Amino acid sequence: MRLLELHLKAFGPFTDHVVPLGNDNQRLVIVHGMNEAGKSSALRAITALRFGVPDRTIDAFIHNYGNLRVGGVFVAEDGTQHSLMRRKGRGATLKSIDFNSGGAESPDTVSSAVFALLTAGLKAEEYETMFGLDHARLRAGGAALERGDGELGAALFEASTGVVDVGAILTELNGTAREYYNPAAQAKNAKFSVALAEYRQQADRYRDLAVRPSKWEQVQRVWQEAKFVLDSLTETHRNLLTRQLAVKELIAVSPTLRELARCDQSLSDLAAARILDVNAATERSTAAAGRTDAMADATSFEESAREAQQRVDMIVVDDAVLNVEDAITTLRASVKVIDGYIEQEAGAQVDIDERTTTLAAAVRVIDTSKSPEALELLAPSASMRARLTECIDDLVRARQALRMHEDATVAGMQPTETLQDVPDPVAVSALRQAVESCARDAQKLERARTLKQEILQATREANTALASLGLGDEPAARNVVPLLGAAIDQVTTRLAKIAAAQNEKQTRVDDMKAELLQQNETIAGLTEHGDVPTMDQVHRARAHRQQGWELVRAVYIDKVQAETSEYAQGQPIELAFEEAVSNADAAVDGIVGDHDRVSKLSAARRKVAELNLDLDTRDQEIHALGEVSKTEARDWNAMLERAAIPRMAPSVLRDWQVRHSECLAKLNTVQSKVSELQEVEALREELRLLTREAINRVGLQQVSERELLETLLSTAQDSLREVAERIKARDTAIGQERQRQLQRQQHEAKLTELSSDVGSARARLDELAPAALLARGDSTTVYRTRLAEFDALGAAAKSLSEAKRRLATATNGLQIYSSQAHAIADAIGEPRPIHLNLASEQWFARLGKAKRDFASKKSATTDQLNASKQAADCLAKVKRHEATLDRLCLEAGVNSPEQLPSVEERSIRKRALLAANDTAMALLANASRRSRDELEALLAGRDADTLRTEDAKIELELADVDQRLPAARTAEDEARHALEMIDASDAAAEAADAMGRAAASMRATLSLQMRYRLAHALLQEAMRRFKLRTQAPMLKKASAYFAQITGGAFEGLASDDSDDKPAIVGKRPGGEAITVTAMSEGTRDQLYLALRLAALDLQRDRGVDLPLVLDDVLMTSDDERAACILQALATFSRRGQVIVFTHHEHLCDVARAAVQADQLAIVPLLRVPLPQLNLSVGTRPQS
Amino acid sequence: MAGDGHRGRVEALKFIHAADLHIDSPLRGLDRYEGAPVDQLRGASRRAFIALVDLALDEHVDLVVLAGDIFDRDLGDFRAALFFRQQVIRLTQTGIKVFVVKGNHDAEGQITRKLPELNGLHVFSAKAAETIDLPELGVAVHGRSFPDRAVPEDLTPSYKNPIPSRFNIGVLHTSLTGRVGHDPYAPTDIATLSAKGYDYFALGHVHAREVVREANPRIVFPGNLQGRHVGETGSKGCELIEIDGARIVSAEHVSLDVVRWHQLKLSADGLTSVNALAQRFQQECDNLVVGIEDRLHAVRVLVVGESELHQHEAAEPGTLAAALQAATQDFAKAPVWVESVRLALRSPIDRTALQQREDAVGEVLRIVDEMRGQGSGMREWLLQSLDKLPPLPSDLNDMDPGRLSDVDLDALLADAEATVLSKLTGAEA
Repeated sequence: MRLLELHLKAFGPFTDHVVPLGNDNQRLVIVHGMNEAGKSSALRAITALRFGVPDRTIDAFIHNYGNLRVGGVFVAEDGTQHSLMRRKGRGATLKSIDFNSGGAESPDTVSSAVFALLTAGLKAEEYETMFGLDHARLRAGGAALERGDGELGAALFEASTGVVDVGAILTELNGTAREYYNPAAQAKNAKFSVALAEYRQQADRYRDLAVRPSKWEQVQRVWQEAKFVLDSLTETHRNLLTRQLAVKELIAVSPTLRELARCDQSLSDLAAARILDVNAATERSTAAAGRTDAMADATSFEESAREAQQRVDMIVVDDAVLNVEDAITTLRASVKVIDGYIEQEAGAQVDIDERTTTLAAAVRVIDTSKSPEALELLAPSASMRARLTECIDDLVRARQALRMHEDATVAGMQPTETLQDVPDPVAVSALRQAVESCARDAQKLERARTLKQEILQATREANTALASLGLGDEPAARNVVPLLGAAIDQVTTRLAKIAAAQNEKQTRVDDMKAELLQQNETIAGLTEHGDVPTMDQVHRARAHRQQGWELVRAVYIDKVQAETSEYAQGQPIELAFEEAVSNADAAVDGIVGDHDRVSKLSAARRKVAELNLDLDTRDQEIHALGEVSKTEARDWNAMLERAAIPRMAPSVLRDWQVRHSECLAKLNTVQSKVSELQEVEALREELRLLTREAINRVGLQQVSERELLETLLSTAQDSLREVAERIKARDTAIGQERQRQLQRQQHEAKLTELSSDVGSARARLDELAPAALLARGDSTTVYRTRLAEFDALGAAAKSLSEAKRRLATATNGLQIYSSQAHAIADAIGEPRPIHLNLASEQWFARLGKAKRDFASKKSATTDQLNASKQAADCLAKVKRHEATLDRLCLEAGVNSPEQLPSVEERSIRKRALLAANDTAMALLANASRRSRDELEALLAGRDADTLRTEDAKIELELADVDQRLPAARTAEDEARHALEMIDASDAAAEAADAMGRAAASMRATLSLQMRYRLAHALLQEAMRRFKLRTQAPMLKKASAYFAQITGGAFEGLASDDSDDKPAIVGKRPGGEAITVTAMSEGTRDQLYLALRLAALDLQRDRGVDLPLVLDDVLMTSDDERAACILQALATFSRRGQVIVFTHHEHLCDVARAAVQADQLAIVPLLRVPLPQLNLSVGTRPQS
Repeated sequence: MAGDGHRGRVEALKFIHAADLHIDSPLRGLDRYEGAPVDQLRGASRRAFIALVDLALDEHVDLVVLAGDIFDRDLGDFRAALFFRQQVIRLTQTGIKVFVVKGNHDAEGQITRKLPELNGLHVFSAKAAETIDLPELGVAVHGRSFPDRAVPEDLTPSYKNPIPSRFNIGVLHTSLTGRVGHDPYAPTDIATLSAKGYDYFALGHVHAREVVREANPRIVFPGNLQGRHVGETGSKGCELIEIDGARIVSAEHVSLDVVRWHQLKLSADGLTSVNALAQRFQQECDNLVVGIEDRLHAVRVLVVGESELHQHEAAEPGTLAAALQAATQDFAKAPVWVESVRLALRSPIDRTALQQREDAVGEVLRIVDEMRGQGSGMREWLLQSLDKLPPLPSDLNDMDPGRLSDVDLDALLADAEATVLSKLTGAEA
């Protein structure tokens, strides 16, 4: 369905713009517009009108998505016109519209029939591919034709759909399939093959790891048997030890049993003897000696008691003076006090006289008219005195404060010197941030130092690794594709087998050569003493003889031959024959005569022949193996080459690959560190620039472009310090000025306050003047003097009073002591004393004597009592010792202590025997757990010799078992170890899992591989069939277009079937065939265009009526060729519309000259506004 | 059925019933894509059994009853038996008694036959049914092992009568009246089992859990312990039964699986981008893992519906699978692994219209249709087009394209057609 008008209502740069696209006959439409005229938008609008505006469009830069509108007037082949408007959106976005009546849209959706005519069942992408063509596609189409050597099937196929390079698609499909699986034997890296190798490897691993139940059972059985043997031997060993123990026990206990028997005999002799206490003898002798000593001591103590009583009776004590001991002692101790009272009494009287005079003088100073007592009453009380003192002090302090305040100078109130400017805070902040950034990243920057060293080190290591691997550089290392272990093993195994076979054969060859040498020596030995006749010689002699006979017969008997013959060599034939007969006989005789040498020589020669034959065979085999080895080596080297691995033996490749992976790791380390260093350096540069700019902005210092970061940082910190100092100085100056102002205000206020304080203090003091017997206004000095006078008056009065009190105290004290002395004198019967101190000394001496007498009497009494008590104790001891001796006699069964020693001796003997018996029994118990009776029963009939014989026999048996035990233990250990080695791990199960995973991977891979393989095959088949079906009509149409496009330079196209892949060739008018590769680039483009036009012709044959839209396809054609192309397009447009967009205006003239005017429409693309349309959905417009 | 009055001595009893352990049987089909969580998948059957033993110890059960198929018949590694023995020892050391009947897998394999004897482990005889009376527990356990893989007859009649005053447990490996996906072994029916007079029938063989009868007697297939492939979805574990006063007072299914299998049908209707599909998949995964975030989830995804994604997949086969697999990486609620992605997508293209086209696209479609009409001809052409595989191990012979069914080949052809069309229509012109 042709497009007659394109209404760009709101699309791309267009608003209300209409593009007329020719009338009914003008089917070749050339739309030309300058750059930026909106040509591309118009092209997209044509597609959008038919197929809808894409979800994402670049044409909504003026009108938003919802407002995009593009419309058109279409005409079908039957002449029916359809006016349609498309909006962007979902659902039914295409509506009928009547452009003639204001643009009212129909509410109904466009019918499916109209829709089918619009799209012909294509998608937008397909439409653009099939019916759209721009210069780039044209070029690509031409290039694809060249790549495919003009292969006919591909060319037709591509042209039919607009696909550029079906060969590339086929290659891609095939390549993708091969990535998954490639049946080529050397394609081991395909995913399927890798998974299969993994499967096989895991299967091998499973077989190695899996433990068959039968194997486990077998190992367990071995262990059980070994254990049985070990248990049996252990049991035997245990029994032998038990027996040996029993015999040794009997050997050990037999002496003890004999000792027990001896004890039994002795004890029966002492059966009547009593067992006394172990200490009986000692106790007896101690008691006897104690009794004698106690009796002597008692007599001595009784004499001492009598002597002490006599001393007591002789002493008389002065009890009267002892009764007042405390009073005398107290009086004696108060001698100094009494003397003090006497002195105090005399001194007090003198003081009273002096104080009375002083008081009178003080009264006179204050007021002569008043008595001392009156003045004392008028003196200020303590509280008044305190108030006066306080008021005086207040006044003095107030005055002093006022004076000090007045004297105080207002220092430091003068303004300071001029301050420096502070930089812009924003710049300072930026500088600070820059410095902080540097500090934050200091560790990273610091890392650069170590990084360089690390990189050097890592590079050295990597280079060393590369060198050790034999790889030139990093790319070489990275290109390496490591081989699978299984592949290496396979080659290694094969090479090892070949080498082993070669070695084996070479060894055999060496052996044979040695044997050959030996045989040759044998032959030489046999022939050393002359030739040895051989059967060969016999055969030859006989043959010679036969030949002679036949000659004789021919010459002499049959007469068929002349007498001359080479046989005779000049002598008569018969002689030659006889000689031959003789030689034959001699040969036979020689063999018969030297049979032994002959047979040995024959055998040796046969052997030599056999050996030579074998040697040849072996040499051939070795050579063949060498060839196989070389083939293997070639294959191996090829495999290495494919994997980009240097040549080396398979045996070292595993290690090499391990080192290679380590090398890669080192290279990665280098790469990583280099990247890290680059990042650090970038960071350093960034920080450097940031810091430099910040420093310059602050302006305190200027730095050059190339300053290092460290220098910049130092400068930045200096700047920041200076800024900080300037800010601080400025803030300090402001603060100081404020402080000075405040101080001045405070000074004035304080002055006023202090003056007021002085006045009020004066007033308070004046109020108290009467109390000090002074007048108002007296100075503070006067007040203080008056207070001092009152103090002197008070002190004099107080001193006088004190002297009077001391006189009274002394007098009273002396009276008390006199009373005490009188009482003592009365008690001891002496006269009352006048001098207290003298009397007290006399009484104290009398008291001392009385106290000494009393002590002597008391000591004598004590001695008497002690002696009496000790005498009584000694008598008690005598009784206890006698009681002990009586008890011992009773226990021993005798009447007197003198009989005790003999009884004690028998007791000791019996006790010793019992102890010996006990010791033997203890020994027996230690030596054996058996009872004495049991042991005696066991010993019955077995003497020491018998026991020793038994012991030796057991020892031998034990040695035998001991010898067998280690082997049995080892066997059991090994069997148990073998059993324990079969653990419960899931290693085999894991291998089975891995097999399952590999199988799953294979299945998934294979599925994709088959898909791609089938796609490849399907596409090939489609190409083949398409070519078969369309070759003739399409080639015919394309041929005509090509002739027209090339302006007769070619008369057409043909198929060159000389190769198995038929190719398109251009036919020159003279019949010359030009292959696609021989064509010029422009001609190939024209060929592609011709094929496309032919393919679209076929589409049109099937009723697909869509306009062909060309975009600047003529931009590289000269006018002549452009004219030809336009003529071809005009031909093509007879059956359908062709719209050619171009920005070359001269092409319009070329078209006008080349194409009939009634076929051609030339449309300038100008943005002409349309009348405002009413796009609201309304009633169906009237047609 | 024994009367309740007989069981006065059964005061409190706890036991676990499990079956179909298939120890060391590999999980199948989980490595289609790179980066499979091998560590989480490894030894799943073992870890599930360890979890069962842990449960038994934690719950202080008295018995553990295993109703057959302890090992896989294909298993050739005796280490599995040693592992089983180790775990059983953990049970028997604490006095827990373990009862095992051999199932069809055990009867065929050698592993169970060589299983070392253990105190506390009783493997029921295959020659005749046995009854183990445990008066101290008030329980009698009846069972019989499979003598051979195929047991066509009902074994139940050979089981002995219940012991009065005991809680009678029958252990039986059976397919009952037949279950989909399971071979018919030792067939029997509910009526026969009920008539036996036992209190509980511990069944095995069917891998999906099924409470065949709720009570009198309770008959249960506990399902297998760990799902082994995507056909065995849902919770897998054991039955924890508690008895008090001769009555079952609690019967609980306890999940013990370490990998949970799911089949998820994902609608791609209306979706135009792979990202949208991935987001929808994540939403569905949210629902799948609710309450079971502690284990790996293996999901087979069936993408259905009509969507432009069909062309995406056709242009680059595996795109959707890769996208869904990638989406699991961003799914944080639980570990999820996509076992495989199956596509049943319809293309929005009008195939009939395309077929009418005179160009190469129409040619491709016509060839495909023609081949489909040829039957064996199509098969022959397809097989000729495919590469010959190298000699494969015998257990992988099923990969041979010659063994593909006609349906598989038809699907392959459809895939190939989609790929070709995507290349032709999507190729840079």
